[in-house]
Amino acid sequence: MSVLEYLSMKAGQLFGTTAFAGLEIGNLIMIVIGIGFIYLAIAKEYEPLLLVPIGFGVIVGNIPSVAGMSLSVYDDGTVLRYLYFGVEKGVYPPLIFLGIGAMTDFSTMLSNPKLILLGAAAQVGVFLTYLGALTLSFTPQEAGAIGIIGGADGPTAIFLSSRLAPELLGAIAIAAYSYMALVPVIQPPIMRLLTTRKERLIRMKPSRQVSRQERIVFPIAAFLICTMLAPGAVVLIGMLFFGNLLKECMVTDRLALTARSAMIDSVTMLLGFCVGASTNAQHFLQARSILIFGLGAASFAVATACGVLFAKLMNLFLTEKINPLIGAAGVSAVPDSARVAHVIGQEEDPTNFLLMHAMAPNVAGVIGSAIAAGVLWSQLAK
Amino acid sequence: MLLAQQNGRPLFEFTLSPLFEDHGLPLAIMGVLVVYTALSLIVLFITLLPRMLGGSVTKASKPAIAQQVVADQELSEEALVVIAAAVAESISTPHRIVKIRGLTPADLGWSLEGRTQHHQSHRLHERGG
Repeated sequence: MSVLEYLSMKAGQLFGTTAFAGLEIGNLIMIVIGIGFIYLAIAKEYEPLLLVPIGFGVIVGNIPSVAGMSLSVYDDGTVLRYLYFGVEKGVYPPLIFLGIGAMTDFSTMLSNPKLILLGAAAQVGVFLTYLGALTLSFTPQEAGAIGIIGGADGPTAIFLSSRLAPELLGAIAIAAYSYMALVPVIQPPIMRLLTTRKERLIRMKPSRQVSRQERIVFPIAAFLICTMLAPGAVVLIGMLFFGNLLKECMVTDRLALTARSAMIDSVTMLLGFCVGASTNAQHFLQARSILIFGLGAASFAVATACGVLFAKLMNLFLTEKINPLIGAAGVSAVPDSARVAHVIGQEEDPTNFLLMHAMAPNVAGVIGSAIAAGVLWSQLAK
Repeated sequence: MLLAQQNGRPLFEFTLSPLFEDHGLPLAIMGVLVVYTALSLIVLFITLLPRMLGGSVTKASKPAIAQQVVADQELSEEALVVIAAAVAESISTPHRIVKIRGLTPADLGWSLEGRTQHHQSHRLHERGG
């Protein structure tokens, strides 16, 4: 063997131990998508807390494994696999809900309870999309997991798909978080299309102040009401209201502070990174994923439309009219969809402040989507 | 109806038959009803809650103060919001801002008088050089 042949053989061996050997066009596409997410997060500030971890996770998840070296979230015994356990077994989403509960102020909802119904209206989109997915030959379990994307609640979507359709988890999680990040892009055209200028100019009365007793009693009572009707929601709703009780009782400030800062930040990082890392091209780049993205967009649009239309329906019976823009905040992308309702309202009248009014259906949407997930889980669990 | 093909198998087929099974329309209708019922019960509970906790809650929560705001021509709404936010940030207990207004020449009289007295409290001597 000549020196040249020997060097050529060694170079071939070396190449075989690099990731380049297993790199496919699909991995490259996914890496570009990951970089795109990071770009959107940094340059456009679209949900940076989610898109940066997810985007980097996508890049990590698409570095091809080398023969004999297990690295990905799908390989047994790898570090990523252990981290992914929290996604696969639905551990992270309830912890996120604990943090959300400790952050959420239900005062606006308590001061104007009729707005809660807008949070229910938006969930109609979840069930309509569920039916749509059934007609496209998805199994009921897969259809349920796809439909919940319309709730615009990433943790809920991950929780339900991990229970009902784990094989679709990556696509559903990415779709859910993408649409949450794209709330300012998706919702405004639908809101403008379904409302008149006169409706967008409607001013709403300032909210009343809510007493401390009301804020303490609410999470306990609401938890009992929700879980008695939909026991499947006990984990998500339980953690949400537990977190809220920690905040409102004012004697567990340390716990509430940890839940809404260090803990939710840690879990968000792990969840986002692991979801991103699960989008390996071989598992993710399938025609079904595109279909799921399409259905997810439809679900989100229908949920937005249902919220707006239900607000218009309520106005037929109310003396104090509701600005129908806040109906779009019934999807539970907190606080983005409330902010969008506020911004669209201010385009017509810069002195009309809808933000606090929109927060009521927004937080009601969190409760509504968790109940919808509970119903689907309890009815469709294999 | 076959819409697309993947590896020789249909990617998806459009069919209405699953809608009429147990997991179709009946489940969707039940789901919507459960969500509406749960949230309607919460609406009912929240509406009754102030009464259950006693009349004082409703009485105390009337936004009477907010309606007594008198606009000051010199202070913009933004300035008022910033001042209110700064006060809320520094005082964690419940509080009420009674008045925010810009200073008028009349208000400046006190500081002017103080400054005059201060200047008159000592005589400046020319130092011989």
